[in-house]
Amino acid sequence: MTGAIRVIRGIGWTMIWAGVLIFAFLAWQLWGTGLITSAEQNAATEEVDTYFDEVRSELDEEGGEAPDQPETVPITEDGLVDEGSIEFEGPAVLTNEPIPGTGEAFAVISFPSLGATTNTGDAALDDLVNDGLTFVVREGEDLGNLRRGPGHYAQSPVPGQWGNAAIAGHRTTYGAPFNRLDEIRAGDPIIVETAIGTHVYVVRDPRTIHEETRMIDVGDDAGWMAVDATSLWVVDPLEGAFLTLTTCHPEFSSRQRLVVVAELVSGPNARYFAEQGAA
Amino acid sequence: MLRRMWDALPGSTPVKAIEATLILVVVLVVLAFAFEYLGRMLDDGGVIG
Repeated sequence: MTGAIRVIRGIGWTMIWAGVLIFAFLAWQLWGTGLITSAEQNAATEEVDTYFDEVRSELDEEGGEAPDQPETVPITEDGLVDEGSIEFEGPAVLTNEPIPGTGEAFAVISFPSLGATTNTGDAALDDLVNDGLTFVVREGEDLGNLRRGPGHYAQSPVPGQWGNAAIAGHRTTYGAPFNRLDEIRAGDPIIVETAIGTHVYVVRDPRTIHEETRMIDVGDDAGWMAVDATSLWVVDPLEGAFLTLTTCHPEFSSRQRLVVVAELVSGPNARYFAEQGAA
Repeated sequence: MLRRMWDALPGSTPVKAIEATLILVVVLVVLAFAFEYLGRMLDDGGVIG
């Protein structure tokens, strides 16, 4: 075999192995990691149910308020929340929720406007989870937790409480729970169930909450903003009961962050916060 | 190529089998770390900061 043939053969083998490695990398990232998250989410379904039961028992023993049943939230034909028609059914009381331990499955988040079934309470929980747009949320935003599904920023309040509750999620890998956040519109509902009840948030135009000059881009339907990956102001405390969701942007890149901001309009504490805000 | 790599391993056939297994495990661990590191360029979880 001449030297030239040997070189050509070497280049050929190198390219074949490089192709195999690139294929293996993409297969692992886009498919393999999703299997891990899917299995974790399946396991988390039971875990979060158990957590809900434990917290509700503790609240009952302490003589706290029993968790409210979710109120009916009027939805327009366009799938947006008709905020003017919301009627509070429960009393104006504040139900505090204990802080979950790190890694604990403590909430379920769903996106009705993206096709998820509206969350109607415990009985429907099993049906909701794993429909592709409903995810169990764990406490903590470290990489280990995020491989298992969306993770709640430990420094932020629990959803349903006063302040800026923040949740992060993968956009491309590990099940990509927040892959379709770029389809969210201002006015869309986001539903979070925690141990004290079901909290309905409405997506706000981020320009009404944050300074527009800090944003790189805003979604066509004003449902999200793109910001630098280091924009810590996104998760700063806010006056009101808000939910902030963060994920990578653009898709297949971690260069920036896509952020959705939503405000609490219904749930066990909504009436209390509304009356406190009006006072 | 695999045949040549196998022949290049020292020792008897059982020893070669152990060596090949160890090499495979090391390669897989290195690949797993490399894939994880490179994967963060695609998607690092979406956390701010």
